Amino acid sequence: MLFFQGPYNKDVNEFVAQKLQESSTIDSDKYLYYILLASALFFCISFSMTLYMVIRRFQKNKTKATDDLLIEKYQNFLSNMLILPVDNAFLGIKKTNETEFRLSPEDVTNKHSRKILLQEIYELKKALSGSQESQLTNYFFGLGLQAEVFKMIKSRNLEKKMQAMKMIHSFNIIECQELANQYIHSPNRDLAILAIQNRIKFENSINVLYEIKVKLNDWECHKILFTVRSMNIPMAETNILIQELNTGNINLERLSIGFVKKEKNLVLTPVTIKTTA
Amino acid sequence: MFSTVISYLVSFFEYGVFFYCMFVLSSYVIISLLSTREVLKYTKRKSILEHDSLISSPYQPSISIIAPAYNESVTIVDNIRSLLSIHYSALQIIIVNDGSKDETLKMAIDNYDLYLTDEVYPTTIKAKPIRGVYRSRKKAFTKLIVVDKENGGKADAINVGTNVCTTEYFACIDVDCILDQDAFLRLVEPILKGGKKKIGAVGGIVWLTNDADIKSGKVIKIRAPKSYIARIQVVEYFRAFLLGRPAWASQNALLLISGAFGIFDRETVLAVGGYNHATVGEDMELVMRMHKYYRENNIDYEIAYIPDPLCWTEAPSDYEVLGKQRNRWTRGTIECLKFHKDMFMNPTYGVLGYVSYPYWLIAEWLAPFIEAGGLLFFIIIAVLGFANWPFFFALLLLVYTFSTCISIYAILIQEVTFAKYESVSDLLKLVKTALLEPINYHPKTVMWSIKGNYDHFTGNNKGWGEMTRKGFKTES
Repeated sequence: MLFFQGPYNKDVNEFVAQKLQESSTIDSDKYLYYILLASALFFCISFSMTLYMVIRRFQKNKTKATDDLLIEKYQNFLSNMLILPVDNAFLGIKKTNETEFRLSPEDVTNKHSRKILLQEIYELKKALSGSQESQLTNYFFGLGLQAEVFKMIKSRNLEKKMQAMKMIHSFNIIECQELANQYIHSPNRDLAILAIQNRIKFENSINVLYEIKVKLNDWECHKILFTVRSMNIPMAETNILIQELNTGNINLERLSIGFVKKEKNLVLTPVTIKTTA
Repeated sequence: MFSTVISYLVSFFEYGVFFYCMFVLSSYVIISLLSTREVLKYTKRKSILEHDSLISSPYQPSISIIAPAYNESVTIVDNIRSLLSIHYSALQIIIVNDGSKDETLKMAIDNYDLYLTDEVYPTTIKAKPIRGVYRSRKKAFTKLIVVDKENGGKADAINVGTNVCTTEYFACIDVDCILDQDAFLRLVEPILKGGKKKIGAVGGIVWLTNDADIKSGKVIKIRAPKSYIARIQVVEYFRAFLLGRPAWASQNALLLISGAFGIFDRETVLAVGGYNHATVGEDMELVMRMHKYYRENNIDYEIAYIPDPLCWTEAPSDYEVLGKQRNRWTRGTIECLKFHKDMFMNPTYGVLGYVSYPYWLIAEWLAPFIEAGGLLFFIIIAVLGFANWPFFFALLLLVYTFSTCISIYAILIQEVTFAKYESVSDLLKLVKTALLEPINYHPKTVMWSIKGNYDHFTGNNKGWGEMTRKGFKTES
């Protein structure tokens, strides 16, 4: 293979011969070494990636099997707990010779099991209402799972933090509220919206919306409306927001005027409404 | 004179091919890294976004699904049922019967209790005449509209659907695709978050389902396909959808939203004149025209992309069909690049003109010629006895290890994000495929591309070519 152009002479044969000579000196020099080095590097990267994938998948499949069993156990236990009459067993923890759907002490003390249990309680609560929801909430606090949520919200991992925010919202965890409120002005918009939703629910009021200094997009408006709709906020207070959001007319401009002002008795000025089909 | 030509030719291959390789390799690295950032960012967000709540939201942008149907009497009833089951409230389903010669229309009328309406729609985009618009008497099917029109091809059918639909966005999907039930709830996220910015179109990942378990129109379990050809395409799709498009979308320079699945802003599509019949790459051509329209009119816009597998389809599983598909893709690319050649290095189009268009031109269109030319040049040198074999093998090794490295990286990104392949053996099969691909598959793609160029420039093959598929394996 020829690589580098040398000074061209009259005869093409001479030229090719010269190139050949140049090339023959190249293969022993550093270029060949660099090419081989780069190839070796790519090979090592490929091998490491494959190894990482395989090990990761082995571990994941291994933990998935045990986690699936735990999830099934917890789901059975929680559904039974909500359906069957309450007895005197403290927090459903199994005593010796008791039925299968009881939890073992390890289930509520082991860090990993606790996390799964917390997640299952949270998932189940989303589908419940009324007395069963209250019963599940009581169980959550009875196990002290709010401490786990507290750890999650203090975590540096954004995913954990967001998950904690949703749990605070769902279970109304007062201990974490102050910490959650700090994120209302977070540059991460998803986190900020979760914090706002929490505060609306905690205060049972939409006053927090007047503290927001950024324009909200449709996604964020939807989230706020979703929270407000699911709550028992006094009608007089929510009317402004509901009228703005609930008409099906998306009107960010008018909404954002509301958000930048801090006065509570806000008079909104009508602007052109963008209609949706 | 002859010697001078030879001299320049040698120089061209020495420097030209070398710098071209460096350009392609470095651009792959940059694009892959940018894409990784976007995909990881999305998957982190995905777990906490709770799109389900959108179902009851008044903020949902309204969407029409336009599904062209031609001679599909066997599948039309099931396809409509599948579309009706999609989780989205503000949804309209428009089936465009493109002058089918079989009983497609009759099957739809009988099964969905349709009646002929006297509705008249404007022909904002020129298309073949509508013979009738049907709606259902049953309240459960109020979302459904069936349009019967004269035959005019897929692009024409979508244009008619665009004229008929009254929603903000429309989606065109291939009828042989399976959509994730929450696909639209996820796809509208960029629209809701866009604020004042006009979101012209949103695309998502199209994933392959060969040998997957499918139950009630839902993908249950994904496996590495048994067929080597299908497996290669899985790796190719990983590279394209996980390591390519997210990067372009992050720079608002995405030139292609897959024809199989994407949503488009109806207003803009009407303004730019709908799908172009004159190309087989009509999906890419439309996106390019939309880009031009927004940029020429100074509209703040985005062509967005969700790196989420929302649409599932079957890959061709024999070389003949695959070759036809790649031939068509090549012709489509050439046609689009030719139609919009004014974009090249044009400051009006910003990053599209300076980066995206030249990249498609150099790394997509010219690549097979440069590869084949380089190979030919080497053969001549080797025959003449001038080849420097140590360098040849070293460079071959470099290109091979790099390309396999990129493919394995794409598999890794899939594993750390969506992890659709649950068994270790599936992952190893994909890695094995990635190792073999440059040896026994890549030369074929080069050949198909060159054939596509030949067909384009000689006008040899203008159609789509017939696509045959084996069909999804379903569990009852």
